[in-house]
Amino acid sequence: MRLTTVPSSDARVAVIGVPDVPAQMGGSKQFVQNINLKLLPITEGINADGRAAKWLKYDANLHTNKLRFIIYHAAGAQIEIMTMVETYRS
Amino acid sequence: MQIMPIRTWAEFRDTCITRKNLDIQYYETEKSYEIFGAEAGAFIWSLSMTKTSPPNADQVEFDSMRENFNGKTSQIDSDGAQMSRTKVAPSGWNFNLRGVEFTTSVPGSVVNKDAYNVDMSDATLTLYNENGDVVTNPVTASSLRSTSTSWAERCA
Repeated sequence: MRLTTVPSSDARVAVIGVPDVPAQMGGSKQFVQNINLKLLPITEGINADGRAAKWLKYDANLHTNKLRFIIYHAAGAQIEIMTMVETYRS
Repeated sequence: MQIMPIRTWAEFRDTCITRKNLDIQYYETEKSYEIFGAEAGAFIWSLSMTKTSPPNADQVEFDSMRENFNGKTSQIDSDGAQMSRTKVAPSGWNFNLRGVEFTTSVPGSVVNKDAYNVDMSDATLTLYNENGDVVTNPVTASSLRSTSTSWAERCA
C-alpha cells in the first residue's frame, strides 16, 4: 500500500481475505489490522509479505480469492492510496 | 559452472549429442539460435548459430532436431545427488503485480486498469458512515468515516 502524503489524522488500515465467507467457515482472514497510516514514513507505506499456501481459485459466489482493504479515517478525509498485490496467474 | 563455447554446429552436435547425449536447451532470437548443453552441472557447452537466409545446412539440420530439445534438464548432479529445484508456481503460470488505486471519501475514485490501460471491473469501492452503514450518493463528506475497496482475481 502506497500513499502520496502522510494523513494528518488517524487512518487505520485492515485487509481481510475472503471477506464474504464467515470466519467460522474458514473465511474472513485478517491479514492486516489496525495499522495507522499517519504513523508510517511516507516512503514505506505498508508491506505485508504474506503468501497464500495454495491456489486461491476464483469463485463467483463465494469470492474465495477476494481481498477487502478497509481504511477507517476521519470524517471526509481524502487519502489517495494505491494497493499492490503480487499474484501468479495461470 | 564453466561455459565452454563451441564454434560450429557440427562440433556442438558431435560433442553434446552424439558423444555425450546431453539434454539440449535453446532459445531463438531474430538473428540467431542460442544453444546450450549442460553436462552434469559442471559444464555448459554453448553455441551461437547465426541465422542465414536461406537457411544453411547447419540450420536445416538443427531445425530437424530441435523438437527434441528444451526438455527437462537433469536433476542429478555429477555426484549422483538429487538437485533441489523449487518452483513458486506451476509451469505456464506467470507473475503479476496488480495495482488498484482509490481515494478515501471520494465516490468512484477507483483506478483499476489492465496492462493495456483498459478499465477492469473487478474492484469496487464502498463508503460507510460512522455506524458502518453503506453511504450512497448523494454523500456529504462529514458522513464518511471509512472506505473499503475489494477485488477478486478472475482467472481460470
